[in-house]
Amino acid sequence: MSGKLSGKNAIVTGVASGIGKATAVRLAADGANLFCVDRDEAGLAQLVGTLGEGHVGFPADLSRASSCQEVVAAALEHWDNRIHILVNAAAILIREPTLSHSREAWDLTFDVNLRAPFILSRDVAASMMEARIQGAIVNVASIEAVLPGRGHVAYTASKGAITMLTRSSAFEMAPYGIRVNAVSPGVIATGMNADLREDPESWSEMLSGTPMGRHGQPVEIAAVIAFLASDDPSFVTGAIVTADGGWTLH
Amino acid sequence: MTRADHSEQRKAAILTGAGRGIGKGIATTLAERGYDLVITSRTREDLEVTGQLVEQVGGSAAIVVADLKDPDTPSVLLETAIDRYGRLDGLVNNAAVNVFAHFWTQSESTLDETIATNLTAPFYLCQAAANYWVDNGRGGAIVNISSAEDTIAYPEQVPYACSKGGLLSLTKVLALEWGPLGIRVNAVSPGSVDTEMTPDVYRQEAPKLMPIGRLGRPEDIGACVFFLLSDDAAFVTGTALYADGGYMLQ
Repeated sequence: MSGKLSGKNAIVTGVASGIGKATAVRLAADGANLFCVDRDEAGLAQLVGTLGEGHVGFPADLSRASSCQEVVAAALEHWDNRIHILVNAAAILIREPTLSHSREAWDLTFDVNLRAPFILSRDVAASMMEARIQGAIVNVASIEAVLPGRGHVAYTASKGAITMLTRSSAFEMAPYGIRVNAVSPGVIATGMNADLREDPESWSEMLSGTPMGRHGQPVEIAAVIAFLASDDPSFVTGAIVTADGGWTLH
Repeated sequence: MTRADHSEQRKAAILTGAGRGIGKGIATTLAERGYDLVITSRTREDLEVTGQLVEQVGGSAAIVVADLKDPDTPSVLLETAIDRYGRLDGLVNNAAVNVFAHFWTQSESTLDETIATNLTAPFYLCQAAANYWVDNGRGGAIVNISSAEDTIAYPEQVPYACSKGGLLSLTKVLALEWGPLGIRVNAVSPGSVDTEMTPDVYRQEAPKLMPIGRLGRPEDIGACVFFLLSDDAAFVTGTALYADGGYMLQ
């Protein structure tokens, strides 16, 4: 298949659902070879089955540091040390009021939402330097880094942190031609808010005050990620691209 | 040519400041990716060169020599697009002036001139385009070419910095107001871009100041504009995409 990502090798995490899944589908459609990662083995297998030939599924629990390192090592072995793209889409959201937010929830959130992207980015960037690949890393932040969600204290903090992981790693990797950017999605219909969408009235009321008056779809975030992963934004690094239908404008 | 935007019917956009620099790069990038253009500046010779470049990549360019400070200019540009292409899909406000001088020597006429070209003209052009889209029961996309200076300061450019700060705010407020109308308004904020106006001494020294190690190319900015005009950015509005080679990370 020819496309703007033709011949590029891409790791995408969190592919069993939501933004990660839509991203895997989009990058494959744009011609990339995918190394798909998720802890949900059934969801992973289902997704990889829909992508066609030449794509790999790799089950891994990214809350474990050793698993993150195994992901990069396995991808490097599979592709003869050549990774061009990393998309850190995997994330978890645990809703607990701040005053009773558990230590376990905090730790798990940071393990998945920050430490995993950190390790994956670090090891992938090192491999790109070694192979002299001018690659692209795309992180998925959130508008919650700017406007917190109630009861989302750990998630919100982790998304603020990944915003600065993006900018600080972009700064360091820029001289090597490795670009690091993030998309900052607004309200997107994913598993994270499936329970809230079961009450359509309050859901649409929540969205009615926003400029576009609707939630976004995972494919709309995948399209932004596909742009950032491509060579098109060759002068863009350390950028946080907000894709929220105008939610954070007021 | 693999993207949907290439194979579909060609679209039409108005581009200001198309005769030189970044505007020329935007013109060629949009033309090769499926846009026919109405291009404008104050200098016919410059526009004719851009028009030839556009035609070389398979696009059409309607040339309008105009002063953006003339209140009739927006309707002339709009009517040209409708007469020539029967449609308008995008507006790119790129024209800008920048007079370098110490703050204590800047004249009020320079301030007036800078605001008139860099901020007031985009305002009225946005208004004309949005009215056309509303009257025709359709949406549209606007990209304002702002600057890294909408956020960070450089010396000796006070009027320019004021105009770009204003343009960023204009972008956000129009996105907020017009979100419900299906009109998206975004900005690309370039850092240092290598154009025919770039002094040689700066061309030699500036790459050392850029994390990415080089100046931007006009086509780099064109690729960002194309993305924000496209349906790939369907959920993106009110956003500034910084294309600065990582300059703002320092």
